[in-house]
Amino acid sequence: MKGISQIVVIVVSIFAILFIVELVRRKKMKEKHSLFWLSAGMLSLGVGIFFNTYGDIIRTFGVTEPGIFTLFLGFSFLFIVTLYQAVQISKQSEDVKALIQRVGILQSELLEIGAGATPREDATQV
Amino acid sequence: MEEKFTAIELAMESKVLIIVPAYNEENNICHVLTDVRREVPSADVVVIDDGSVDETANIVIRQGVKVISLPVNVGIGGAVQTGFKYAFERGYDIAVQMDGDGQHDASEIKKLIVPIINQEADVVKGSRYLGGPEYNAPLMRRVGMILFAKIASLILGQRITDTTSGFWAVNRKVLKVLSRDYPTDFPDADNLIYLGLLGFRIYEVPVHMRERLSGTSTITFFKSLYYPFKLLLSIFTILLHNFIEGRRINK
Repeated sequence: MKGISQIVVIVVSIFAILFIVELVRRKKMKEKHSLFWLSAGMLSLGVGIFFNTYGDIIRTFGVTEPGIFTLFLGFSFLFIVTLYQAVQISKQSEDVKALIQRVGILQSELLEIGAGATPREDATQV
Repeated sequence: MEEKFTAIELAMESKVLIIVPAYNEENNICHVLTDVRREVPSADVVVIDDGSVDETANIVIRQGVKVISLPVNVGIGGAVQTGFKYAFERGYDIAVQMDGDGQHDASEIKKLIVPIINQEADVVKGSRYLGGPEYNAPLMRRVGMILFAKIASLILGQRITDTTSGFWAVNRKVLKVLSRDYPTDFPDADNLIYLGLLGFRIYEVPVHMRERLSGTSTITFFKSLYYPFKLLLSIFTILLHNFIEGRRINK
C-alpha cells in the first residue's frame, strides 16, 4: 500500500509541475505567481521520492500520524496562497477603480475640447 | 445667514462644484439638473454617470451639463470619488454631493455651503433627523442608522444624527483627502469618523428628503446584510490605524 501511495504522489507531483510550467510557457500564469505552486510541486515530489525519510523526519518531531500532518501542511499552504491572492485582488480592484475614474475624466475632457469622444453606449456593470 | 453667504461668496468668489452621481437615472436626472441650475446658478455641475446602460449620459449632454461617463459601474463611492478628484484637480473650493434620483432638494444646497464659506466647518452633512419632518426609512435600516450615528457620536465626541446622508459638502482641504482615499461601496459612518479623527470640523444641517421621482433603490438584500459587517470592520481598522499612528507620532 505504501508503495502505491508513493507512486501516486510522485506521478501527481510530476504532472502538477509540468502543468504549471506549461501555464507559464503559454503566458497564462506569470513567473512570479508560479513560484508558490512550483515550490509546492517540488516539495510534494521530494516527499514522494523520499517517502520513508520524510516519515522518519516528522516522527522525530513527535508526529505520530504523518498523513494527517501532511494534510495540515497542505491546508496551511492553501490558506497562505488564498490570503495572498485576496490581497492581490484588493490591490488590483483599487488600481482598476483608479483607471476607470481616470478614463472617465479624460474622456470628458476630450468631449470638452471637441475631440469627438462620446460616452460609451455599451457600458457594462462589474 | 443667507445674506452673509451671498456677501462672502461674492467676496471670496468661491468655486463651487455640485457632484451628481447617477446610475440609470434617465427618468430623474433632467428634473434634478433643472432644479440645481435654478437654485444655485453660480455653481458648476458635473454628473458622474456610473456606467449607466440607459440614456442618462446623453440626457445630461443635451442639457449642456458636464458629464463624466465611467466605462463600467464602480459603485456609489467610486463614482462620488471621481467627482472629488475632478473637483480637486480643477481647483474647486467647495464640492457638494447630491443624488441623481431627485430625493435631495436643490434649494437646500446653500444651507450646506454656508458653514464652509463662513469657515465654521470643513464637512457639512445634510441630516434628515435634525429637526424638520421625520424621514421614514424601513425599520432595520433605521436601526442601523441610529446605531452607527451613536457610534460616530461616541468616537467623535459630538452629536451626529445622520451618517448615511448622501447630501453633503466639503471644502478643499477635505477634497484633497477624499480624492485620495474614499470607500468604494457605502461611504458612511466610517468615512465621517475618518475625517473627524483627522481633525476636520463636521457640522450637520437639517435637510428633508423626498421620495424618489422614479425607479428603485440600489440597496439589495445582500447589501443590507453586508453593510453592518463592512462598517464595523472599517470603523475598527480606522480606530486601530489612528491608535498606532498616534503612538508612532508621540514617540
